[in-house]
Amino acid sequence: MLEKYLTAAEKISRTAIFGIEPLKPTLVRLRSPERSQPPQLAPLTDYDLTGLSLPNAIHTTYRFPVGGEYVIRAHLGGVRPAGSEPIQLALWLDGQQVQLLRFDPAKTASFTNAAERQDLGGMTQEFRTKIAPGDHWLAVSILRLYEGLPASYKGPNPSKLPVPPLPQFKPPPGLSPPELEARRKSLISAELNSRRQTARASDRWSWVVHTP
Amino acid sequence: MGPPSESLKKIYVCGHLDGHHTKGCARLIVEHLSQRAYRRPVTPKEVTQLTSLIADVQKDGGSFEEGLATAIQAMLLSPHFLFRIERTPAAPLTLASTRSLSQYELASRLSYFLWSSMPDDALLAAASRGKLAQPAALVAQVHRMLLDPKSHALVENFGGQWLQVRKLESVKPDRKRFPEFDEYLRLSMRRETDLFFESIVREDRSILDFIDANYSYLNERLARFYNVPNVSGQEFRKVVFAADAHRGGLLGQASVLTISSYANRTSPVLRGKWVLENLVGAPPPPPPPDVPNLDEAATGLSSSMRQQLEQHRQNTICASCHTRMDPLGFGLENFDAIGAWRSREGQFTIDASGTLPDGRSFDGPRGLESILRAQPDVFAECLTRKLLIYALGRGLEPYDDAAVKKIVKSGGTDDYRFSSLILGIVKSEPFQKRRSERPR
Repeated sequence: MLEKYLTAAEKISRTAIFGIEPLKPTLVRLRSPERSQPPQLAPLTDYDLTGLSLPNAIHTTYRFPVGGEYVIRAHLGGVRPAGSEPIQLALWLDGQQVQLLRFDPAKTASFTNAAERQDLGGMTQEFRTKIAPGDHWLAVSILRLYEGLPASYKGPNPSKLPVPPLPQFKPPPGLSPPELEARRKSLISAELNSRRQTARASDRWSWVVHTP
Repeated sequence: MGPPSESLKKIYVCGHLDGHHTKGCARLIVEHLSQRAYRRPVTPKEVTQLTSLIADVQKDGGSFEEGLATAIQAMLLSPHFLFRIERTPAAPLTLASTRSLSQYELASRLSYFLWSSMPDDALLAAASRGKLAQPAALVAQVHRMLLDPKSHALVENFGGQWLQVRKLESVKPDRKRFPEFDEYLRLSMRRETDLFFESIVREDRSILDFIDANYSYLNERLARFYNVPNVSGQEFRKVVFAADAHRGGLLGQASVLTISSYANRTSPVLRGKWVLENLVGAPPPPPPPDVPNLDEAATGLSSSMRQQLEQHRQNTICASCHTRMDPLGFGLENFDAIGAWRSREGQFTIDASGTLPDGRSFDGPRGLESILRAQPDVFAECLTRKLLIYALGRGLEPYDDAAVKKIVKSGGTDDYRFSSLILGIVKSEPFQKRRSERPR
């Protein structure tokens, strides 16, 4: 305890006379409770356009030690259907939207079949904003989550982008009718599964905060 | 990056920001800084000791600035900075007695009470003129301090402790039963209560608003949760509730209702206890050991919460406390465990009526609020006691009772405005005086 007092007193007194020592960037990881956007077969028409009250938004409070410019990285997850328009990620500080990023997952490399869906898993988006010292309520959300989906999803403001053609199913020759039927069902099932997940833009976020 | 010039001006009161100090500068600077740090005038001996540290560093080849940093470090480590020292009289006392606080001690009590921080220049100046204890000066200072943004500390620290809303950070409502509960809602609940409390302080409203105000502070998320229409956007704003709304006062706020519930269900017992402790000032004693738990699985299926508790109260030992707690909690049963309005619990219609041990009966949250509102002095005394404990940093003793009654009575003549309670406290004997310990 005494050691801590000594260290704190020395730090404060030197800061008062010589100014704030250059701080090394500090990394803080903040994790929200895991909450998935439930699969939707049809887009909602009445929902929170800010995304703040959707389960895939992240909310947290954090005590920022000093005022300065902070880098906040949001780690994304989930998928969007192929042909969707870029998503809009918003950073909120104490209830006010302070930054907006447009992010196009289709323009990044992915292991998934780009003709079927856009995969946000493992992608990171970076915000930079000035924040005053003290406790702040931070949030990141996807704005207008159900807009910009391909027209076939019948959502509001559908995407104007072309939907990549699905790869054609060409059964290998020599399959018996039951085998053909099984392959067909498997293909439909995969397609339906993909559609169910179309509105699931993110299922887990973490934060990286850099002090200046 | 050097310190801002405003900050340096406060340190280098000699005016030599360029570093060209003269012989008397060290003493002048140290005297000024230590006076702020110790929150009182300093003695020449204290100044000499601190100034000698600067000289020592300079003798060892350090600069004046490095010496000054060492002197400031010494001030920050001094017990006079770390503790709020209220000296007992030097002369030995034969009997326990009281003495008035010095002007500077009073300034410190005031600033730590209302700001959780040290006195500012205006307070110290009033103390140095010897006029702080004068009623008119005290009233002016209190009003000034309550309007200052630093009084948010009273909301955060006192409000957080009194209403126990800090527990919101750790509550984990059952996600299957309450899928609506998320971080956004949790943070919105806390913000509502903070803003509501702050409005009563800033606008100097009656403390009875805590019981039955017809307004609160909502954003869209919370408004949707409360089924309050026409609130869009994420910013919190004052919302006046319609007459048939189920909200108003602390007992309609989701923060209070959530922290007084279990993760998977409401608890009329916890809620009744919360009301008794925080609004009535009559906390029940701790429960006896080996009290059997309620059959939670049956709640809503084979019996309602009310029926289970009625069974529990048949035990005469349990009944002595539960007849006080349970009816108060029943009055809030229309709110589920995260504060959403409901009219049914499983297959049972909610019965939110209650009868108090003195025979008064009510129905629903509004009825409960009316009962509490009908005895404003009871709530005022409860809040006064809690504020006084917070202001003094000690528990209350029987000899404080007279002061509490006087504060409540005086508040009643001013519609129980928040500032009237605060003024009553700062003018009271327990706040302005210090009791000397009886010599052993």
